[in-house]
Amino acid sequence: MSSTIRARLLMLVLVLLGVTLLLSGDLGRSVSLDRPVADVVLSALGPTLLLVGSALAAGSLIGLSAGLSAARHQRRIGDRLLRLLILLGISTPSLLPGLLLVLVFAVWPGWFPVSGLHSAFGDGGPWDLLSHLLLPVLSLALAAGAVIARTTRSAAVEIMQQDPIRMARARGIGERRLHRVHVLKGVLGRLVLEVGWLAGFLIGGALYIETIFQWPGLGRLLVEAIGVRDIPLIQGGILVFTILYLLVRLLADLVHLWLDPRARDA
Amino acid sequence: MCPIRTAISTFLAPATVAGRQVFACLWPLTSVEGPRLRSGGREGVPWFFLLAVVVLPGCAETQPPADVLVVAQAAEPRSLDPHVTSTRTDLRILANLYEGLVGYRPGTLDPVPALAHSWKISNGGRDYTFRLKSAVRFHDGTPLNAEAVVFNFQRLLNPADPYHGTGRFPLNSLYEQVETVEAVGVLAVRFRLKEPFAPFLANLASPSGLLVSPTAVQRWGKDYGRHPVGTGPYRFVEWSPAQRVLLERNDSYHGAWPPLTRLVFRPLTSQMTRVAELMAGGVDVALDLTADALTAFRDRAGFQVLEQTGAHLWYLILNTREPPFDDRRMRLAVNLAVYKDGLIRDVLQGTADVITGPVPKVLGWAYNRRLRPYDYDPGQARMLVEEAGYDGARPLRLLVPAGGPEMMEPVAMATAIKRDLAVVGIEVEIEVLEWNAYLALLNQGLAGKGHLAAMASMINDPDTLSYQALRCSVSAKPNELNAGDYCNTEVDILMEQARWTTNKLRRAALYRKLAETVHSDAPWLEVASRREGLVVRDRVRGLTLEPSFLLDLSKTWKQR
Repeated sequence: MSSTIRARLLMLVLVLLGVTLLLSGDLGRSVSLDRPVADVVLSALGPTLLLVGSALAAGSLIGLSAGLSAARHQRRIGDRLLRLLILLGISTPSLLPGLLLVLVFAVWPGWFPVSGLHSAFGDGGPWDLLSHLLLPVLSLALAAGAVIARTTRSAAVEIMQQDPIRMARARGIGERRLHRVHVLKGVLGRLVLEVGWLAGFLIGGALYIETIFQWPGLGRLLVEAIGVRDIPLIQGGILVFTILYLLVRLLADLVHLWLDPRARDA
Repeated sequence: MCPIRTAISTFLAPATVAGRQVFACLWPLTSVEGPRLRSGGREGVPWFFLLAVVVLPGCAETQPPADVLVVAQAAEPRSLDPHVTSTRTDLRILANLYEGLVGYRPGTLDPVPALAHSWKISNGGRDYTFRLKSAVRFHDGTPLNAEAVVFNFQRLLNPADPYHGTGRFPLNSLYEQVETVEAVGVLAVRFRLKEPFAPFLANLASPSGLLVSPTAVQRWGKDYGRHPVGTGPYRFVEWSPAQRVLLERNDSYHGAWPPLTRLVFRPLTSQMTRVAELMAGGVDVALDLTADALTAFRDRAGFQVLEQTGAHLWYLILNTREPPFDDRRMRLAVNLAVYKDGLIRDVLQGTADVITGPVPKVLGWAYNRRLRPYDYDPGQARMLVEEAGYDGARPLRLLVPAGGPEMMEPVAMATAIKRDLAVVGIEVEIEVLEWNAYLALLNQGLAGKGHLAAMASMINDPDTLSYQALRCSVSAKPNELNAGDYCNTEVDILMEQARWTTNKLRRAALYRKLAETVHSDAPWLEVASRREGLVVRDRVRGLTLEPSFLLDLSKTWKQR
């Protein structure tokens, strides 16, 4: 038996073991928190999904808008500016905008709460949640938006030169409809895979962002568990992160199949 | 009035037209026409939408009202059962939920009546009879009586008790001298000890002596630590993991009502966030800050830094069994060679005090004020080293943990000590170990393994540490701390006498004598006592730090 096969078999057994444990609901007991790991991890899952989901949505919106806009105004000043911003966004580690946003919008003027999911003294409510959500989502979404914008721009530029688009243009379809329907659809097909990859990126970014904003999610939990060497909790957290990531990738692949007919044939 | 709304109406609204142009180019999904703005177009809609999303939540209440105090700590609580937990962050919450038979006199570690209004010591120091305050109830309505006290200590100490299994009680060794606990009346409890044991009251005053509601323990069993019920000035409301522990004023409190209606303890594990929250006003009190952060707040208007030295000792154990530290001159040389003021100023940034002898200064009643710390005198130290005939052929081994409770900054401290010792001709090499491995090694004694080892302890009675770490008979026994194998029979006799003496004045005299002997024998390099600091916003009043490092918020209030 070759070593790769052995390694794969081993991995399979490990994943199966993990899933079995997860299904049985017994991931051991957290050493540092003295609670069942499954409880801890599941209660932290919701906030993380909320954060990463909102960031993904906001990032897609920002990225798609910026990318399409850049592609439309190719090589003009707007495009150059946007590309500079995109480069900045991609190269900045996600914790930096987080820290800056806290300083500029929370610490100095006191407009937004600095940290947490709910107000520590109030009784919550949708506005309360939204005000706590905005800064962390924005700091995650900026980097995600930059990545999406870059893909969107290059995809849109490429698509705009393809025959069907020139054909459509020749047939007299309005620019608005052309971009909104035809270019956008082509871009989305490519983007879906990118977004799947991005989910992993965002989950990684959530480690920083959740720590900075003290968001009661999985990322912060994992960082703290590592800090105090709480092995059962680390294992549980990583297991759930892995499953989450695989699910998102799977979902992205399925949507890609649905959007791109070529992938169906392959 | 929310400042951002004002800003928008005065500044941003006129700029909206420009904003729409900028935004229009960022919004090709709705406006593929680009930045050319048609009057009355739809391009403005998402712009206003975005504005609304950003602005409206921006007006959320970010500062707590005047009757609510928000405290930021570095860790999520583990349990709110005083018999189970010994973590500082948990104890700070517990101090407001519970009371014990005995408490600390404010500003000291002296036991004073709390739930017991008086006590009597009889039978040659073996019987402690406590008379309880009447008409005190736990938050769930259970009356506090002798039965409830007996329940608490049965649960803690009796392995056969049906509720002994509702937790693991790491601190019950504090009560290992207790033989029986019985009710001798509705409101009278008698503890009979196996032998006279004077530190008993001090141990009872420590957080492990806080009393829990029997009904609540019976109801919640192993989950009691998440549903705490005590008799304190605040009662437990809610614990949202990783978010907050919420306490509310106990309206049927038997003492003076606390001025605040609610207390919130937030676990903010990142120091950056604790500082940012404090500056933004979302948090009133920030704890567990490093020396750097405290220094940054010291001269800042609007904040106060409160500090208190604790009953804490940081020292290096010297291996007194093996050369070179079997020679007292060498031990003295080490004490003279290390520039402790410099260590405290540079490494600990002033968050500690120099110690003298094995009794910390805050235990004022037993502290020997006549003792002087060893002065920094490298010349004298070098002379002693030469006198002792130390050749320094091989470097000595200094063991330190990478970190640990109360250890402050062990590696940085060790590095500075190494430098000071090199000056007088004592070369050491530092070996860093992980905390648990380190403790395991120390428990076997230093013999053959090292010459110096860093250690730190928090104590509540002069007996606690001395009895474990300086007694001849306990050297190199598991779970004892006399790793340096110090042995002086005179010290042993003093310790035993002090344990048997219930008269506080006579006890104090014994400890003063003990401190003098130990200080002069120098089995340790005496270094420092930790000073804990916290930062509060200026409007917080009536908050003092206790030497126990507990946080009593029953008299705290906020200016409007």
